[in-house]
Amino acid sequence: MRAALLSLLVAVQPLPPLFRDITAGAGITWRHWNGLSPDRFLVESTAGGVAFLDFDNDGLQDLFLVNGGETPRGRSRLPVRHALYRNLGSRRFTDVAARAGVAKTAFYGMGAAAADFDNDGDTDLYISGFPSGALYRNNGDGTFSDITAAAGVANAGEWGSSAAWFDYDNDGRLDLFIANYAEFSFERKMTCEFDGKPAYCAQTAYPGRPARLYRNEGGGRFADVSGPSGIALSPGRALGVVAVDYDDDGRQDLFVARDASPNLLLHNRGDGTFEDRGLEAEVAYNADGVARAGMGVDAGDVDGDGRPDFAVSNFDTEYHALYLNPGRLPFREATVESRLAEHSRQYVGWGLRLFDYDNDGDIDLLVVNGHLHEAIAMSNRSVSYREPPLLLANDGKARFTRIDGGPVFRGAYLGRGMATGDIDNDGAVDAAFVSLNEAPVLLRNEAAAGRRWVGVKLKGATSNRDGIGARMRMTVGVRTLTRWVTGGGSFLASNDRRVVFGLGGEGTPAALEIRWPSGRVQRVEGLVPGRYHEVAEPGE
Amino acid sequence: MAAALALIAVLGAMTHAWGQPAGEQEAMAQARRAYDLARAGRLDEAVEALQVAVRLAPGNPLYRSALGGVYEKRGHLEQARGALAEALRLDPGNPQFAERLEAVSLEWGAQLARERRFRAGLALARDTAARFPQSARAHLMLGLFCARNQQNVAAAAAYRRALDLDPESADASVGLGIAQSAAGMAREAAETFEAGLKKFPQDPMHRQAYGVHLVKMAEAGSAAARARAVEMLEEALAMDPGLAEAHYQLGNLALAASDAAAAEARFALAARNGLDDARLHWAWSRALRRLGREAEAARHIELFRARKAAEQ
Repeated sequence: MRAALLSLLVAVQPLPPLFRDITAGAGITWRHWNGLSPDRFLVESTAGGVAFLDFDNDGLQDLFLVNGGETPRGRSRLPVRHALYRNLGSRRFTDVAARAGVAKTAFYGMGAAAADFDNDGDTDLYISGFPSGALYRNNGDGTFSDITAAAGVANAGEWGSSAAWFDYDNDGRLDLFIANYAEFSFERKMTCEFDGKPAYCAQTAYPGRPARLYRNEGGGRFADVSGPSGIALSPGRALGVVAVDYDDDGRQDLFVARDASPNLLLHNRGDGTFEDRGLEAEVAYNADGVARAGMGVDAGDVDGDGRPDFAVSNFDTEYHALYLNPGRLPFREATVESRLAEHSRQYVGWGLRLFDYDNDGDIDLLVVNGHLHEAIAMSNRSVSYREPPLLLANDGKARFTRIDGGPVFRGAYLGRGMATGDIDNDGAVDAAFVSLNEAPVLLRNEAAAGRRWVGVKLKGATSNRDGIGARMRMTVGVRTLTRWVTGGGSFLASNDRRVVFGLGGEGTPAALEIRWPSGRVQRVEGLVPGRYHEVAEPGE
Repeated sequence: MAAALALIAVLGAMTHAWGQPAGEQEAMAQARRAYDLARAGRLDEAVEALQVAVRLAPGNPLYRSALGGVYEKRGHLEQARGALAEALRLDPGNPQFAERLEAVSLEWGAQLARERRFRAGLALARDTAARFPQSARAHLMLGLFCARNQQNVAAAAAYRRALDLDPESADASVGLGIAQSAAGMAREAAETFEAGLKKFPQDPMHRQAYGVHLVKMAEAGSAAARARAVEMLEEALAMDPGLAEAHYQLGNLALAASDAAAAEARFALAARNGLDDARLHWAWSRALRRLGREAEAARHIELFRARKAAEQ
């Protein structure tokens, strides 16, 4: 009887959340502002960037939040500014954006991409937006300098969305890809209505723009190679980008998620040019030949075959998509078989990350969602304006189960940019996302407690300092885990570059094999679980 | 048109107090002239004459109705509808005016749908349904334009009203099921389709539309829905082998099940039965690639691109 009562007691006690909302407790008070107004400028609906970066090299991941801005009739009562939350340890943060020189919103802000573009050991920061972007060089003393003009990366006149640092020519310097969205102007109002109320016009009313690729020339200068590289050949409404070597030829390719424009799979030919293989890969369109509303994209080995697969967040009733990489083209769309269709049918997805949230060795999926249209329920009763994030656990065979990660996953948000990073260095990868016109959400991962893990931070020498583009393989028991240091990933976001290998219960890791972007292959032995290891690329 | 000419003809035999007495005679003369011009096929001039008549006798609904008739003959349905609406406003109890206005409104709506002018169509349909609340066809049109404007919940309500007004309307029943499906009302859609199967057992469109709904349900994880979708689509084709959409849907299901040969055969049948849109050529090219027929696949990719460009 007593046992029965005890089991009943256990059953009714709420389970601890897998991801705990620690935003307020962490001291994060910043709020997003998108300039919402009766004009319903489309730019308002797609803003809200976020980045994890260790800007002060203290070993703790800091948090940068990108604000949108005001619109002609969408004024804010408070100053609109970005936030740079310095991680003080013990899961406490303080905003140092003003002191660091990155608080100013000189343009309508969209996303962030953090990386050490000048290989000086400090993480720099690119902010995308409309009608330009900005590059901030990290001075190494807790401050940044705006070097946009000298660097030549303003992306002037464009509505820049997600951006990615990657080394497309393997010269050891990180280049910059900017996903440009569409032709846009605050002077050219396009007002639409839904059931008599102001609404955003369909994205197809805004002609898409070509993306931009800036080649890092060294010395803090970049050259616009969008034309000669072929990047500019495929205009379209680009929103998300991830850089990864999908065909394992040693060169970084790009998957570009686009909104009602065909997705691009930009294959790096190795001669400074790219070729779009989206059609051949069957990632450009859905089964009906329709270009979905691609927002965020990420790469990871979902089915454990050692090749990078891709997940793309889309509009409601389109399903967030999963493309499995069989090592040849076409990819195999596994959206239905993976149950991603079932889980995502009623959601509009944005930030999306493939990572092993519970350190069991399988790549899981976190997606933040939120609709554009306040009156969407008039169109579809199963869809709502505010939507919960999705935490989807992978069974190791690329089949996902929806997990109740805690109250946030039962909540309702207008989620946009989302990034992952381990804020307390416990090997459990945390996450943060922006919700339009609200406080952001910082989620501490408590799901991986007690699980064994090994963390790796790369330090390139011949390769770029961040090791972006490196492929890592670790054998654990009978499994080989393959991970990449990707450029970009998610939506309007920049993620913790360190890679965490979840070991599950499968014993001690064997050697780690790293293939650096330079082509050098390195083996590292004796990695002790439960901590991060900095691995430097051997010199020439 | 015959009605319009007859209307003009009777004008001469009528004496009314509408309009200003001083202008009435001249208005009548213009109407007679319009009648002669219309009979001679000189419709533009007939319009001009009737416009003069309307100006001279603005309170006379007959000239406006006649003007509406000539506009209709010229194919100017929007103007025809405007003139007839004015006539009905001046003589609200006139059943002929109401009948003509409803007919022209429906005709204008059909034209707007063909021209893909869905926002204009929705405004027209709302007005028409409000004017003719007992007209099943008006509510059918409203359902169509609500659906085309992604107002699926409103579309379902309009189709429901149409079906209530005309329980024998298979179009209203199918439209209701499709709208409910699009509005995320999956259970209601299934109930509508199941009821439609019983009510209209010989209607293949119910089975085809139900099949498409079940395909969506299958995508969202229901294995039972997939089997039932195939059953519905095959039954629809047994009733009408020329249903291109059913062939296309079965082809895509076969392709998803890695049966490229069966898919290719279905896509060929869909094409043979008139389907020639971007999605068909995309799916067909995918099937052909899997069969190793690269040259044919490339040809369908080109057709896909061409159709896509045209559709956009």
